[in-house]
Amino acid sequence: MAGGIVEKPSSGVPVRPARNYLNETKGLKNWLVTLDHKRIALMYLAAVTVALLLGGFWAIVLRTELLGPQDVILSNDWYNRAFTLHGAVMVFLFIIPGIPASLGNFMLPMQLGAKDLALPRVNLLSWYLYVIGLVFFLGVLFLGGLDTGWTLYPPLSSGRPVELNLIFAYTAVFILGFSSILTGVNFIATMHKLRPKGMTMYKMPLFLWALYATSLIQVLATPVVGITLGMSLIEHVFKIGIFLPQYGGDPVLYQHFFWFYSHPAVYIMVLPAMGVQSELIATFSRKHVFGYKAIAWSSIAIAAIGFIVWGHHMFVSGQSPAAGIIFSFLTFWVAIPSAIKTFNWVATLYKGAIDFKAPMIYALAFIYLFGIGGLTGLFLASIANNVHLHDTYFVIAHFHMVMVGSVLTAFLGGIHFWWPKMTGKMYNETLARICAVMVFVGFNVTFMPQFVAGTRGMPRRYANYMDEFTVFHQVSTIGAYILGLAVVIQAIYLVHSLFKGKQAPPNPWGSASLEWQSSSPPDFHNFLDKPIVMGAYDFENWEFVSEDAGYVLKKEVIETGKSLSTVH
Amino acid sequence: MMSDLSFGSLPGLPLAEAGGSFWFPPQSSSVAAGSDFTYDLILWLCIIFFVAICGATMYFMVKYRKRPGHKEEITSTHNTKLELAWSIIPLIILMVVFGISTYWYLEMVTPPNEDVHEIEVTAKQWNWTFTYRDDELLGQGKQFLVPKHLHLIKDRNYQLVMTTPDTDVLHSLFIPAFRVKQDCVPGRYNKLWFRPTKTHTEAGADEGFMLYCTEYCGKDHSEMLGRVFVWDTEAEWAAAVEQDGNIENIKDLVDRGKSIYDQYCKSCHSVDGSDNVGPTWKGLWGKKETMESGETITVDKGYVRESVLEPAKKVVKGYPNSMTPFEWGDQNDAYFEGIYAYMESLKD
Repeated sequence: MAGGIVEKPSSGVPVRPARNYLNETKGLKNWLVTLDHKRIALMYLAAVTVALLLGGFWAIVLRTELLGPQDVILSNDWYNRAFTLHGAVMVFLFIIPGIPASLGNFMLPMQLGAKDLALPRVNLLSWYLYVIGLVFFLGVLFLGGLDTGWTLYPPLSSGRPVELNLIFAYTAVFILGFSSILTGVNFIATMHKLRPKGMTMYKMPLFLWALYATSLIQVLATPVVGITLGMSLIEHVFKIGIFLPQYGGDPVLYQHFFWFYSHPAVYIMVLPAMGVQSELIATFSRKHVFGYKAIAWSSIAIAAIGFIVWGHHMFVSGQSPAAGIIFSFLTFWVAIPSAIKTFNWVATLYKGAIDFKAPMIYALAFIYLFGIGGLTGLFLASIANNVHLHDTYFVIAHFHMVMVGSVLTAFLGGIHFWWPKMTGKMYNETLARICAVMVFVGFNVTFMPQFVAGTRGMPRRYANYMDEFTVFHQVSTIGAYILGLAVVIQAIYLVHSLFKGKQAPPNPWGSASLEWQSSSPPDFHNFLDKPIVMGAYDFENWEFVSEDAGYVLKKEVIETGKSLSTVH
Repeated sequence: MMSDLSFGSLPGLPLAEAGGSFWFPPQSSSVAAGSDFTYDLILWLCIIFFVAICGATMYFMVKYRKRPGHKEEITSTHNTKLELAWSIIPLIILMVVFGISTYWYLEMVTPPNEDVHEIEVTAKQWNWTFTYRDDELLGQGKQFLVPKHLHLIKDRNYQLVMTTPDTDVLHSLFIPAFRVKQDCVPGRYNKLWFRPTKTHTEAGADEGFMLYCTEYCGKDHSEMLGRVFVWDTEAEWAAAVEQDGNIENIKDLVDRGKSIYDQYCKSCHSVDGSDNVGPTWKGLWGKKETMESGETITVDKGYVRESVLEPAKKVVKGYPNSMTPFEWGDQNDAYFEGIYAYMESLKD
């Protein structure tokens, strides 16, 4: 049977394929030594979900503490630990690996029409490194937490008397760095070497272009933070002068090294999210994405420019005004590729048939939240404003709009979008839509007040604050509770769907990238027959059958093995 | 001239104004108006772009929503002219914004050539100390160390010379009403220039403008606060500095010692017997301590004085050699009287 679809339902209820990657082999051991990218992706998904819940727990704790200007539930010491753990867990364990290692790992080979990643063993190794990093972080937690801030700035961090939990934290980030590098190398190799005949770079879904740009950053930037934290670890234990001024070191040098990685890391987080966004917008408006090449190359442009803007984290560190001005100039340039993407997504909606399924609600929320997150970046790129806004709640609100408003939104949208493919089950659509709206509302309620608190001068990382900021903090905390509740409800109905969900058809959304030509869940070998290579947005090749059966490939496509699309 | 900068105000659109606004505290320094001007400029641009993006999105969401009888149309998948336009026009706008922002930034960081009064700032976990010297107003060769309170004279140019002891951590000085901020880095002297243009009472801050630490510095980061007082006249200023800075104004020696302790010693020494970076002061006075060198010493006036001025000389066994030396110039004796009295009051 051509087209690679195992059980092609022409109508009625879809049938779960008798053999698929989930039941190919059984037992925990077979999962733990699996080389199948799909299983590793699910194991990553489980692990990053643990990290998300852990980081989210600390977010709720610290927002609760901030309900009042003085101590509410935490001492200063514990508040400092709460925001350090929140930041470190969310950044290193959730947002950086989140989308690429779970959704990317699963979809990259499938969207290419390949059997697996180029280096399956390296893929498994990268998961184990991640888990070891996670265990080290849990170790930090059991040793009583850490209060250095996730940025681990010396002298506050390495300058203190030797502390086991700090050593654990350095080690964890160091190891996680390797996990990230290995994933990046693997993705790049796969995209260059395993594209089947006919699958040109420009035929790849934009999600893959985004992953490609992400991988470049992972490979080129992560070693710098690894080396930096390695040096910090040595300095911490042996008290030598690299970054510590009392031994002749320079703490500002650390900031340069740290942000040389950590600013590009922001794009490691957001580029995959933008990739997911392109898939969702196109699929649910049933339109070929507008400006494919512009979106593809803007990912590369963001990755490239992202490497030369790190100094904007240090406008008030005492770096020279000349350096500050150059970094400000370069930072404004990042706005352009980001704006190009946004305009293209909006243009894609034009004359479409917009279906407000849960993933699409996330995608539309993304346009709004990324709009605010991106535009407020202009205030911070402007050096005359940055001086006032630096290290205030304005910055907190800005980067959460991007890192949560955009990345978490795209992550959740992507999970819902690919859930039927990954698990073969449909979730409860009504609940999913309600939660999508809750995430959007909760998110805005949490972070919009923080912009105003910031311009009025509320500094970040404050356990206690002046009375005038109370109302902003209280509204913000209510928003965080709404957001937290939505995530918990999602976890419940998604897990529930694994047991009680309806069987998913191979292509419930009519999406055109290759993974939808496989069964749900896919076969162990991804495709039983060679998929018909076509443009990722050639929606005209698919026709709707029924709500239960989803979309199927049109007869003439199967017969000719060619796309019907004429718009390339 | 600068305070005339304004975009005007549309009804319902909150913009920065000289007298304080929805967004900002009242503009109270020479650099505030330029910063706020740039803010308003960008705010307008953001509103225009945001409304355009979200407006178009919402319009499409309604007009092209999936419904019976509505089908998507195949439209062109790219349009080079349109795409170039929406790349290049924003770029030009942003470069103009960059130019304006940089102009005001240069105003912000370039102090006038003359008539600049220096004040030394020392940031320590978790306290600010401002050192004032002014031969004319405070007396020849006199210096006053004032905790927490930054005293200034209206319409005078100031340059803060800021540092942190090598053994301390990063801090950052932030005065929202002035729109200024600068990190304090161990081993460096960072400078921050501004000219206050309103007294604190004129700006409605009767208890002084807020001064914050904005670089996370450990446990009591959020308690590392200060106040800025801007006085109309030199006489008022000198009186305020003398009042705050002359330790002899605190007549009760134990109170004096307590206040010195709170300012300089508290972050490392407890007074309730609990362990900290350095030995607790509870019961320390008159106690025999063993030094790193093995010798035994009685904690008395001589030892305390030496340990404050040259802490590395004799370190108590079991504690790190990490204390910063302190020195109060011609007020040393008055400070030590207070410290002795306070330590004595903590005897068992």
